[in-house]
Amino acid sequence: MPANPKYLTASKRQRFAKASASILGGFLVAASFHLALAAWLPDRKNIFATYSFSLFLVWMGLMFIPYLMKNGWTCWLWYGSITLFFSVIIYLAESSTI
Amino acid sequence: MSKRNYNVFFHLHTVSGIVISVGLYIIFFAGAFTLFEKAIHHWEEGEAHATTTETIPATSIDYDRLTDSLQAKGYDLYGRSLYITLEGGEKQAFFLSGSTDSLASEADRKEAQLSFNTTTYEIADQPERYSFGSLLYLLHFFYQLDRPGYYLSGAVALFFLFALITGLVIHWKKIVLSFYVFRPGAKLKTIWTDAHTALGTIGIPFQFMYALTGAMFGLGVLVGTSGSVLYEGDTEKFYAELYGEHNNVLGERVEASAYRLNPYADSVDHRWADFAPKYIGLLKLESENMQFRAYGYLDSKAQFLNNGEVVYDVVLGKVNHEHNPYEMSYAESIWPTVSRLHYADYGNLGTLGDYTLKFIYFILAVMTCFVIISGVLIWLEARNKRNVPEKERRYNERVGHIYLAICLSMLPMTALTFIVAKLIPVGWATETFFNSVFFGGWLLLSVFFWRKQDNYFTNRYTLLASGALGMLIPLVNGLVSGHWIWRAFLNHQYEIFIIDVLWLFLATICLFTVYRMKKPTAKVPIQTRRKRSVATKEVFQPS
Repeated sequence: MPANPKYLTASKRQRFAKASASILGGFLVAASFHLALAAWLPDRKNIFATYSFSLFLVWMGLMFIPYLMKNGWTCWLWYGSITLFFSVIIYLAESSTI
Repeated sequence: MSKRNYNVFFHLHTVSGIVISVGLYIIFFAGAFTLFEKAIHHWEEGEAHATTTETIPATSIDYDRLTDSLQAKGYDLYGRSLYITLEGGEKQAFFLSGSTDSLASEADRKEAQLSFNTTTYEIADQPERYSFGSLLYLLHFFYQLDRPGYYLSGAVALFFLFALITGLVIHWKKIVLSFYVFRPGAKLKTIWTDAHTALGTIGIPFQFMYALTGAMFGLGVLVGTSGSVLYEGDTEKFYAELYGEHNNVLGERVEASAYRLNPYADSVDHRWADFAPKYIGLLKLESENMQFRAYGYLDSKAQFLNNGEVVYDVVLGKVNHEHNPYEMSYAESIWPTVSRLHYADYGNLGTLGDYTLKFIYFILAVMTCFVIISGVLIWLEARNKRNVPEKERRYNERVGHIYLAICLSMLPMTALTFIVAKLIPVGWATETFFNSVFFGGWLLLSVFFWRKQDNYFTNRYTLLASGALGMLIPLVNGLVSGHWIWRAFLNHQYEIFIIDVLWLFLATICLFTVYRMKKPTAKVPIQTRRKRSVATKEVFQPS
C-alpha cells in the first residue's frame, strides 16, 4: 500500500525545493496576498480579522501545489514572483498614504 | 485525479501523519482531559462547588470595602490590578497583580493569590495548589517547554490540517464505500485501515475545527508579526487596529478615597438585559486611568456568541470601551467563536451544564487518538513485507515499539496521577511535584514497554493498568474525601461526580477490551503470513 515510489521525488535537492516552497513560499504568498488586500481595501479591520484564520487556510492550499509540480524550483519562481508582485502593491499603497 | 497525483497525496498524508503522530496524540489525549480541567480541580479539592448557572450580580461584592481592607493590610495598591472571577459563596478568591510602577517597592511589585471572606472582608492568603488538570492543560500545548512548546503545538496543528486534507483527498472517491467496510476477521493491516478510514471520516468536522483553531492559537503570532509589516513592524499597532487602542501607560497617583467603585458594579448589572458578569477587573488602581472592567455572558441558550464586556474609566466616570453582547460585529465575533468551539463551551445541554457536550467532545478526541495510532500501525504493517529490506523492517519495528510505548502508557500514568493527586497532603500539590510524578512515571513506563519490544504486551498491560487504576479512582475519592459517587450526585456536586463517572466509564472499556483480547497466534513466520493474506484474497483494496 505505500505510495508507489516511481511517482515520488527522489532527488534531495528537489525535495528541499518542494518542501521549502510548500512551507515558506506558501506562507509568503498567503501573507502578502492578505496584506495587499488590507493595504488597498478600505475595511482594514475586517480583513485583519479574516486574516487570523484565512492565513492558515490559504497557506494550506498553497502547500500542496509544489508537490503537484514536476520541478520545485519552478514553483519557487512562481511563488517568488507572486510575493514580489503583492509586495510592490503593498509598498505602493503604503507610500501613497504617507 | 491522475495516478501520479494520487500517489503524491498519499505520500504527503503518510509523511505528515507520521511526523506529527506522537505530538498530535499527546495533544488530543491531554486535550480530552483538559475539557474537564475545572472539574478535575474541584474533584481534587473535594470542596463543594455548586455548578449553579445562577447569576451572581457584580454588586454581590463591596469593592470599596475590599480595597480598604487590602490597604488596611498594608498593601499599596497604586498601579496594581485586581482580578475576580465571581463564584458566589463564602470565600472569594482573587488575584492581585504586581505594581507596574517602576518606582514601587520590591514587595509591591510582587503578585499575590489571595482570597477574602464575603461577609467580613478579611483577607487571607490563598495557598498555592497546583492541579493535575493544569498539568494536562499545559501539556496539551506543550507549555512545559514554554513559548517554543506553544509554537510547536501550533505547527503540529497546522500539519494536522495538512494530513487531514490530504487524507480526505485520497479517500474522496471511495469515501462512502470505505466508510461501510468493516472486516474484523481480516489481516491486521486491513483492520487498521478500515478503522482508520471509518473513524477518520466520522471525525473530520471535529478534527478540522481543532486543526484550524489549534493553528490559530499556536501560530497566531504569525498573523501579528506579518500584519505588522503595514505598521513599520509595530505589532502593537496591528493589534490596536484589530481590537482597538489599549492604553498601557500608568497615570499619576490619585487619592483613592475620592472615587467609589461600587456604582460601576451597579451599572454593570443593569447594562444589558440578562447579562451576567463573570470576571471583574479593577485595573491600575489608585491611578488617573483606574478602570473598572466587567466581562460576562448572556445565558448560553440565548445565543451562541453571548459574551459582553464593558470598561469604565473610574476617574472620568465614563465608559471607555464596550462590547455589546447583542450587537457583535464580524471582527469581534471571530475569537469568541474560536474559543466557544475549541473549549466545548456552548449549548448548555442537559442538567450538567456543558458537560454533555464535553463528554461528546471527549469521545471524539479519544477517537482521534485511535485514528492517529491506527495510522501509525498501518504505516508499520504496510512496510512489514518481504520486499522491504530486513534492516529497514527492524528499524520500522523499533519505531513502532517506541511510538506505542509512549502513547499507550499515557493513560495508566494519567490514572495513577489522579490517585496520587487525591492521596497527597495539600502542601505537596506543587507544579514540580506533579511534573516529576507524571513525567517521571511516564518516562519510566515508556522505557519499560519499549524495552519489552512487544506491542501485544504493551497494549494489554497498559489497558489492564488503566482499567485497574481507573476503577480505584472513584474508590480513593470516596475513601479520602467522603464524596462517594452516589453521594456526590445526590448533593449536586456534579463536577466531582463527573470525574468519577468518566473514570468508571474509561476503566470499564479498558477492562472489557483486555477481556476480549486474543493473544496473537505466536509469531507467524513471514512466509506463512504472506500466504495467508493471499488466501484471504481481499475483496476491496483501499488503495
